[in-house]
Amino acid sequence: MERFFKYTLTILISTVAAMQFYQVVMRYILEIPVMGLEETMVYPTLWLYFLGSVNASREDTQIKANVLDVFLKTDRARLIVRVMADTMSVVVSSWLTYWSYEYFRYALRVWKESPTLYIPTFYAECSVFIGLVMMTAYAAFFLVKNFRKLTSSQQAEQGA
Amino acid sequence: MEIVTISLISLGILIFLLSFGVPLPYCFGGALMTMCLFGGATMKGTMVWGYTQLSNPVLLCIPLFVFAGTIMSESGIAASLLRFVNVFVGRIRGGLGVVASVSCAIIGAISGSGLTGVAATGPLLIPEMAEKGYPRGYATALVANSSILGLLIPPSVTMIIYGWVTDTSILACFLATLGPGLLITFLFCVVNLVMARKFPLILDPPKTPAEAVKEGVTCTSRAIPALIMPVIILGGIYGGIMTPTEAAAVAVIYALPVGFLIYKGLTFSTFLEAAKNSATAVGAIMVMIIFSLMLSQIFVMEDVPQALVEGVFTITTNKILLLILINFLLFFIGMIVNDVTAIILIAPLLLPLMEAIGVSPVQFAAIMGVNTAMGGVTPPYASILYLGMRIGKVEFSEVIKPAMILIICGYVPVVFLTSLWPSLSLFFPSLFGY
Repeated sequence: MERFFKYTLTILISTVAAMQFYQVVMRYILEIPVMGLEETMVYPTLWLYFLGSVNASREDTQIKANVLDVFLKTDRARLIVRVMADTMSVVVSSWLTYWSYEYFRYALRVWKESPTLYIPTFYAECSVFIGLVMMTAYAAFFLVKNFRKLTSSQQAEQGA
Repeated sequence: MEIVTISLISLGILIFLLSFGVPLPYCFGGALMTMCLFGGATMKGTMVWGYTQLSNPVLLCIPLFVFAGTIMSESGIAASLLRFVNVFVGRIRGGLGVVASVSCAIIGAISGSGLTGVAATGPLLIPEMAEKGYPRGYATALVANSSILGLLIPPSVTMIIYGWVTDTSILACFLATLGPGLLITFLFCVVNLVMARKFPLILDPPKTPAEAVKEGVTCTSRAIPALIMPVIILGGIYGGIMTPTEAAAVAVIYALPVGFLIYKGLTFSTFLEAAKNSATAVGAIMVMIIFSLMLSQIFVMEDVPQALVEGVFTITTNKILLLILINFLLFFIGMIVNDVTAIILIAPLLLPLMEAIGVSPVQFAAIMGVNTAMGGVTPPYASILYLGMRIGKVEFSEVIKPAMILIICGYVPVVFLTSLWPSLSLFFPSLFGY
């Protein structure tokens, strides 16, 4: 997975930068208008945003505030809060995924095309649903992982 | 239940989820869920609206600026910049502290982020300052505080987001925080020179004029490729040649040969790592933005900002008192969430109130910028200070006192000046007709 995200994200962000730079060169240096580049750029850009966020979920580096952690003294208390946070994350993420699925179905039904090159916009729109499904899966993975850690530490305490 | 009450409950849910350490996209999602389940709002149109917002080309400058900044900091420019600034002030007592403040401001101009600044300069500056007699806690506090200037010296990611969510010119927002940013840099230099008198510093031996000139020429020529980057970005934007997104793309393409061939700090594997880290950071920000914008849109549709203005005006209509109260609110928000979150959460809600008391959106950009920047070094959510502590290998107890001195002497006066003296933030934008 690490290799997949490393190469995919590098390709996506480099493609976006290269396309934008190509536009600068064509527009300002060669003074040739570029048709349809802006609408094409939406595809790698949207996938970059959502796969980037999926990778943040995978690496557990999504932005968090963790205010309660400052006041908690023991690792066990922090783990309990973490399990609660993971549970809330799964609930909210599942709800958001449900709505992104509705949007996915809408995009599939309407099947819009980009104005200049007639590329189906669905290929960019589906990134919202696919991204959220993967984010929810990682949220569930961390919930299970931390819950197991919590129960095993509880058993170890009782054994001792 | 009234819609305003439900909106307040949804904000309460947001803060509740935040405090538990739920990832920020889900915190905004939780507030959205509350508005939809209990406030009668619907996600149907909101999802389409959110997608349209996210595909806006203006936002593309965020990943590109983040990518350019990460490449530059991986390429090893920090060492060249530090030597360059050191040529001018290195031999005066406390000069190394001035080097820290000024270098972090310059790196901020290149990277647009506080975390990049502390990550790039901290590993070089903190050990060197400690070796020269500065207490390690003080060195860490100074580098962390100065790195925040990356949020105020343009181009700044937070100002791009502010401009976008409030429909204000991004170029004007960039310039609005420049005055406060420069003033904070100056105040940090002064505070450092005063505090350095107490430290048992080891000063560099004096050099002959010929040696000094030779060193100056070498260091300047080495730093020029890095110094050209802000010139390309800002010159391109304010010269009317390029849009911010195009300037960001040019910065990425410029940073590649500089990193690979000139500074040689960039290798294929560090480039891959930089690209992945940039994309991950951008993904985390953008998905959070989409849900926060949906929440803001629902608030706007339900007239929550107007209700807020009316509610506040029943308490007081005194402009100065309101500005002071808003600064306290922003300071409090900055203490618990990061800069981007604070801006997308608060800016659309408070802007109508600001406009009602005669504060322009450009000045409010500076007020938000300075307050949220200060939040980055104010516990409990002091991400930049914590990163500095990790790099500087110091305990919280060692760093908090000097950090508070710098905040009180550097940030706090500028926060109030930015609010009460509009020219501080509006002078540079007015030069460009904003």
